[in-house]
Amino acid sequence: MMIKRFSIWLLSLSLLTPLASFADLTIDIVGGSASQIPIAIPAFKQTQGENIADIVSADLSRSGLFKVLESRGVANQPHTPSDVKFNEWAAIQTQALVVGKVEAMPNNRLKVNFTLLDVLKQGQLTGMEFNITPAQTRLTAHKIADAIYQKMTGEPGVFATRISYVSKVGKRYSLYVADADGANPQKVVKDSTEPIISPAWSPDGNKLAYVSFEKKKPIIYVQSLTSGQRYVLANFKGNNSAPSWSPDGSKLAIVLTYGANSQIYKIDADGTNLMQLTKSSTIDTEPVWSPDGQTIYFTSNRGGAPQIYKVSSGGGDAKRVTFVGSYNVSPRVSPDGKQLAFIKQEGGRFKVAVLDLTNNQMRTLSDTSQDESPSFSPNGRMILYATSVGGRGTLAAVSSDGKTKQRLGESGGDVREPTWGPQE
Amino acid sequence: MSMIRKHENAVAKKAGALSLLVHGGLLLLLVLSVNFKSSPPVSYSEVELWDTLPNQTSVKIKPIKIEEPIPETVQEVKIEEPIIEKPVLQDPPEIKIKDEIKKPKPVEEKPVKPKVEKVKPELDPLKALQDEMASEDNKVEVATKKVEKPRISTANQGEIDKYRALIAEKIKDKVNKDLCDIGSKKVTVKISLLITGEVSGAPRVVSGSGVEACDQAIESAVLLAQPLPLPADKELFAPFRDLTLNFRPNE
Repeated sequence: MMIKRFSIWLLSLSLLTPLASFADLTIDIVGGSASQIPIAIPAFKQTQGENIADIVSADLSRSGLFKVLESRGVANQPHTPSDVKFNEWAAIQTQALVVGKVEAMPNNRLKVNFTLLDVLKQGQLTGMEFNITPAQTRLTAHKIADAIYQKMTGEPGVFATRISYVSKVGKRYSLYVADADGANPQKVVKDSTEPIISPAWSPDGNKLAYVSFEKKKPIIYVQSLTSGQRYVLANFKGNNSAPSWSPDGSKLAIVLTYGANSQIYKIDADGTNLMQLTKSSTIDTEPVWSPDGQTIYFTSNRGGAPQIYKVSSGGGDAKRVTFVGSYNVSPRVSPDGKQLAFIKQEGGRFKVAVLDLTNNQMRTLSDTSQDESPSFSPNGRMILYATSVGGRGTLAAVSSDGKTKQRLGESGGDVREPTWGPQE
Repeated sequence: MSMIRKHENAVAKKAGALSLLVHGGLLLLLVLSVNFKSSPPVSYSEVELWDTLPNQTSVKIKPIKIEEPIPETVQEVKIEEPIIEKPVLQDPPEIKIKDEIKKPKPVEEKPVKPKVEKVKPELDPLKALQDEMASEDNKVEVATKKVEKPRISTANQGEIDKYRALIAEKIKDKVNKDLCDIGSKKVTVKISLLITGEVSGAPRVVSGSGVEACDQAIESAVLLAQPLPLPADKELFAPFRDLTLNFRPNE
C-alpha cells in the first residue's frame, strides 16, 4: 500500500513538474546547417581606382565561407562606424558589416580605414588603418579581407599571398608571380622558347627555385624576387629537376640523373653539400618536404606502378604511402603535416585527391579530369592545381574538404605548374 | 426322460456357472471402465490449456506466477475459471490473469478479448486510483483532483516540447559548424526571450568551446534566428522566458 501511495504521489509530481520548473527550460541544438557567414560590404568612400569593397567582397566570396549580401538596396551607406544604422543592416539578415574609406594624403599617399562590425550585437569586431601608395591598393584590400577572414573564422586568411605559375603563349614560356586571386600577374623570368617547369617558393617568399631548359638541358636555378638576380643551384651531369625547399630554407631536395636513373638528392641552398637520399634501380622523383623537416615524400615506380613513398630527410629505407589505385603522383604535404594532396588516376582521368595521414582515408576532391601540380594554400584550406579545359591549361582551386571549387583568372595563355606562395 | 433331465440339469448347472462368471466379468469390466474414464479426461484438459500458454507468452505472461503451481493444482482451477470467473471483472488482479490467459487463445474466446483490451490502456491509471479509493476513502477526492491537473499539463507539455523542437530547428539552420572544429565539446548559451520571440539583451555563453570563432558563430546563430517561434497561447510563454541552449555542432 505504501508503494502504491508513493507511486501515485510520484506520478502526480512528475505530471505537475513541467508547470513548476520552466525557469530552466533546456534546448539541445545538435549539428548545424549554415555554411556561410552573411556579411555586407558597402562601397568604401574612395575617389579613384577599383573600390576596395569590391576586391574584399570577391576574396571573401571565393573562399566559400562567406555570403556577401547585396547592400546597394540599403538606404544607410556608412563609411564610418558612427554612420551605421544597425537596424537597417539587421533587416537584411547580415551578421557582419564592413565600412571603410580611402583618403588622399600628402606625397601621393593614401590612408585606408576599415572597421568590421557585428550587426547583431551592434559592436566593433576589428579595424585597421593603412598608409599606402596607390599601387598598394589591391594588396591592402587583400589584407583587409585577411583580417576579416581571421576574425570571423579564427584561421589566417591567404588573400594577400601570391602564387607562381608558368604560362605558355605561342612557343614562349614565362614564369609569373600573381596575387592569390590570379590578378596582377608579374613576369619574373624573361621569356624562353625552352620550357620552364617546377617553380618552388622559398619559405620566406623571397626566392623561387625553378627548372629551365634554356641551356638545352634541365638546370635548377634560384631567383630572388626582390632583386631579380638568379644563380644556378644544380647543373650536374644529366637532368637536374624538381626542386623543393626544406621548411627552414637552408636546403633543397632535388632530382638528378647523375648516376643512371632519377634519384632524390639533398643539397644546400647555396649549391653545396650534395647528398643522395634514395638509392633504387627505378625512377624516384617529385620530392617534397614535410613541414617538420623530418620526412621527404616522393613518387617512385619501384613497386611497378607509380606510387608515393616517403624517406627520412637523413636518408634510409623508403616506405610506401599510397596503396589505393595504380597511379598516384605529385605529392604535397599540408601545412599542418596531416594531409597529403596528390594526383590520382581514376578511370583514365587525373584528379586531385587527399590522403589523411592520420587515418589513411583517401578522398578525391576535384571534379576536373586533367589535373596536375596540386599545391596547398598556406592555411591548408585550399589546394591550387592546374587542369586542362578545352585543351588549354588553366588554374583551379578546391577546398581541402572538397566543398568549394573555383577557377582562377584567365591569362589567355596556357597555364601550368602553379605553386601557392607562403604566408608573408 | 430321466437321462434327459440329468443331462439337462448338468448342462444347466454349467450354463448357470458360466453366466454368473460372464456377468461377474462384465460387472468388473464396467467398474473398471468407469474408473478408467473418470480420471483421464481431467488430465487431458490440463494438457491442452497449458500447452498453448508457454508458446505465445510474451512480456505480459511474466506475471503469471501460477505457471509453476498449475501442473499440480490445475484440476481445481480449470473447473472454476472458465465460467465462474468471467463476471468477476472488477477484481484487478484476476482480470490481469485472465487477460494473459486469453491472449494466447485469440480464436477461441473472441468476445471476451475486446472488452479486456479496451479497458486496459485507458484504465491503468484509473485502476490505480480505484485501488486507492477502495482502501482509503478519505483520499478519494484528492486523488481525482490530481488526475485532472496532469491532463492539462500534459497537453501543455506537448505544446512546450513542440516549440522546443521548433526553436532548436530554427537556430540549427543558422549554426555554421564549419567554424566549430571542437570535437564533441558542448557550448552552453543562456538567453532571455521577449514575448515577441526576440532575444532580450545579448546571449550569455556560460560554457564556451575555447574557439572564439565558434562561440561567435553560435551567438550569431541565436541572434540570426530571431524571432524564435513561441506558442500562440501567451500563457505558455513563461517556460520560454529563460532558455538554456546546449550546442553540439559536430554531432
